[in-house]
Amino acid sequence: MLPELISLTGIGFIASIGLGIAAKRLAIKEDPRIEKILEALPGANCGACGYAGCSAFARAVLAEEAPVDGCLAGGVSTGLKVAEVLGKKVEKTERMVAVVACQGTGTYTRQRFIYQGIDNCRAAVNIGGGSKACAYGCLGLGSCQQVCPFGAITIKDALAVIDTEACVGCGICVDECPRDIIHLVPRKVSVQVLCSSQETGKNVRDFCDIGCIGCKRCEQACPFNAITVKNNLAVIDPGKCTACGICVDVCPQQTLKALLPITRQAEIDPGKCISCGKCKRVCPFEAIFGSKGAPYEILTGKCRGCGLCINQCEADAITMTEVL
Amino acid sequence: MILHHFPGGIHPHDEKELTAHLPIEDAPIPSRVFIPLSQHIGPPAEPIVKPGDPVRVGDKIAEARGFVSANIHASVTGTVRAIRPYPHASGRLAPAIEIESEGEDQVYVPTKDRQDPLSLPPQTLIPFIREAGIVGMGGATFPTHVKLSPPEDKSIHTLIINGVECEPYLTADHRLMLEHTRDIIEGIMYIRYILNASFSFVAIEINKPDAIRMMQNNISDPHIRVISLPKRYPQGAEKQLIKTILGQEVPSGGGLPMDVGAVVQNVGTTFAIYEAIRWGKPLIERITTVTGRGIKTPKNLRVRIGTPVRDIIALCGGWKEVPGKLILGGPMMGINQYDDAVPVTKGTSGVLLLPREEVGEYHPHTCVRCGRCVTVCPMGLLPNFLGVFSEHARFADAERLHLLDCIECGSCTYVCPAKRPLVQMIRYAKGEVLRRRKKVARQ
Amino acid sequence: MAKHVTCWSCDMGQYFYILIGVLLVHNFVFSQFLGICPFLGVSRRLETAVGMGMSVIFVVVLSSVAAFLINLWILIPYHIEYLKTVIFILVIAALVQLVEMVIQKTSPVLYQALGIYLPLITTNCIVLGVAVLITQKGFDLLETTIYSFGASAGFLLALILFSGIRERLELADIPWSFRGTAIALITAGILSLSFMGFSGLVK
Repeated sequence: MLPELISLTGIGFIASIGLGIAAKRLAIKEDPRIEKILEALPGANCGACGYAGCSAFARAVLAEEAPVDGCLAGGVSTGLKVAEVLGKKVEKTERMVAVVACQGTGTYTRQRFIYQGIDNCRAAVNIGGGSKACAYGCLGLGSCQQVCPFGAITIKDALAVIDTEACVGCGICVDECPRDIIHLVPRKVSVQVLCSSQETGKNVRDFCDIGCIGCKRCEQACPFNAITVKNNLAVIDPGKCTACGICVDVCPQQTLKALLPITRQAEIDPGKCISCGKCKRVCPFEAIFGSKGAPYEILTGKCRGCGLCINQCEADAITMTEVL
Repeated sequence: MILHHFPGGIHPHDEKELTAHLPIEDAPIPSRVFIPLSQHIGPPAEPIVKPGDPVRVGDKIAEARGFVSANIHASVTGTVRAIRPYPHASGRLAPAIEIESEGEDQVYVPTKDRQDPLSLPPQTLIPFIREAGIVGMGGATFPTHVKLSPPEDKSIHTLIINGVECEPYLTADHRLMLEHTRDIIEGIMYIRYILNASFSFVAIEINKPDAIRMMQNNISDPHIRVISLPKRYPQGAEKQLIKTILGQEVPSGGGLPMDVGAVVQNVGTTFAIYEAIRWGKPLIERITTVTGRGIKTPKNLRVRIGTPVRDIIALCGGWKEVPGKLILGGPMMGINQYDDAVPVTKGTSGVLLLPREEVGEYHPHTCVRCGRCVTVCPMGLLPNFLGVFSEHARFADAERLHLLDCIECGSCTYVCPAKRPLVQMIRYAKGEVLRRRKKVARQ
Repeated sequence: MAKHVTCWSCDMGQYFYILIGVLLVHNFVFSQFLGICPFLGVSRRLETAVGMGMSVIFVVVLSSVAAFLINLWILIPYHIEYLKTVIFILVIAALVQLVEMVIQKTSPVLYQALGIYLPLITTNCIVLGVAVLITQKGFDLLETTIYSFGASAGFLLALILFSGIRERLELADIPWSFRGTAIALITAGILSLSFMGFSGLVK
């Protein structure tokens, strides 16, 4: 009994003292907050933040080089957790989403030559400027798909398509696209011009059935002056756009699209309504009905949440609500 | 003299029998020329004319932007019609000056007659070359006045005149050496004088015995030697020439021939230098070989810069049968075209028309690691690995394997049994490496 | 049967045979199938594989010598050989902790790269295996050192060979059903087969 006890405890004792001394001698000073930050991060090492991995980002946040909510993969919740570790406040940032400004699938467009070579847009664009007849359009060989860390991009019929739900707005695809036709837009501006061609309408018709021809019908129809045609291409001002979708209706080429469903609806408070009828007159979608004497009502099926009626209401009776 | 050996190299059939015996013909003046503003390495030139201006042949129409750039001159007499994006040999649209030619006086009348340029100080000759907008006419289009102005600390002891023309099908330089022998030799003396080089060699491939004899018989200066080199592609590449003649290797990773005390100049450029210094003639025309079994009548043509290729094809009788490929340059390093409106530029050494049956479709496979590409690479690189790294986006590894030293000669793609587009993969990897470097530099 | 400690032997040949025997003929990875976990886990890149191999050599040699001495001075005299597994594990664990601290200090990059596999050296069967085997085979001190060095060098050899192959495998176009661990195991099996060629070289 005794030899066993002595040998076991003896060796254990010697080992622990030795290790204790070594630990002191070989200690590395590291901020304990790094561990906490790393725990808060999703740990995917995706690089969306712009740093080489989660630990690099954690270090950058501690050094105050990176913003606290810089982790795009983790989103708002991660930003709040990291802020907690550092004892900081975080401002709400706008959620962005990537959009491919082209709809030129193989069905809608033409090729100007047969391309034989590497299946990579960045490589293909150097061969004769890319085989697509439109010099601005998506080449559809999948460079963006290959670099997306979240698998949000797929190639359908030679066109890159982004899943707006999976996209976190990291912007890696924006850098990768050789034609620079992927853009990061605020998520709430859901109406987009899905074309990048600056060619005149006549030329566009030669090589694409769904491109913007610069006809300016959208510009004329928009009640908010949010869309203008520059260089034969429609451009939306995100500050003014209310995503009402009038332009989408009038576009003859189907170039304009609403990427997200309408989530806002107007509501009239019957108690405040004075039945003046101004809202009904101004509504472009005939979504308000009523007559003098009774409070007016919104037809929720037709309301697009554009807010023109709210501007007009003299009694402040109309409010906008989020509908999920 | 002892010749050295560069590694690798291939022996494609040179197909020069199609045009080697045809003397140079003057192409008629085109009705319209489209002169691109970018026909050289470096920033594009800035136009100094506007639509509506009348121009005479030889007038400067665009100014070089910066030191490494070149002037552009009108190749015909006429009126400037537009300055707009136009098809370019690179495949994209690029700004070009469109001139509608009119009037009979389309022959360039020399404005100068310098009887004895070698009596002037050597440094005064370089502005003549610069003014004439001369660039490397072997295809690289590097501004010549920059090449002939090495920095103070680099002394040049050897001048090599490149009459090798190793690219199959092309015979423009060959005919030039036969028909303008004395002019070329005079040009060589001017360049020697400017560089103060002790040795000059005229390198000609052994498949041009008449040119070798012609040059040898007309050279009286004992400091200029004609060397006949064994036939191997790419013997005419700058670095390979230096290895063969001087036995030295240009330093890897951005080294230039001047680092080993040598300057290499194409015979076409040498001829243009002669014309610029002696007669003050700017670069407005060049010799182009129109060849291939796809064209009815192959020719060696003297064409004005900016002539649309379709005019040249029509001049040579047009396509014989079903068109296969239209290539500007040679089959190894030339650029495939999809639009025959593309104009001839300063670097267009050939217009190659391949019939449909000579063009193959290929489907690349994975690398079978046979090593043939390694055997033939003239720079001693590992194209198999460079290709595989490029496929897997491992650009840092590719850079470590000296990716940037590749001269894109095409030997590896020529021999690959798996039909892999190696040069495209290497070019793509080069683009990505440089892009990443720029990103890092910006940060 | 324990020999008394001799630090020298007149016959150098036997040391050579011990070394070759445990390095090639009875390679711990390819012939005895020990240490497979870190072998498969750290063999993706050559640099990390070499780093791992060096750490294992250090731990194995030191722990074997310590094991030999503990066996000679404590276990045998007091007849508590049955405790050797526990005590050896104790010593090995302490040594690995030490190595981990040293690596973290000297090469943070290697520390990150090895990750979880560094503390896993503790449970690496090669380390305990060598410690136990030297007590069973009755080597003397010099033979212990050579044997343990050869065993761990065999592990390093296996790692270098395998990671070299795996780096190339990453660039190859492997059929979908074979990708990942599958092709790695098949390759390890083929390497094992090839090492069978050494059998019979040394008894």
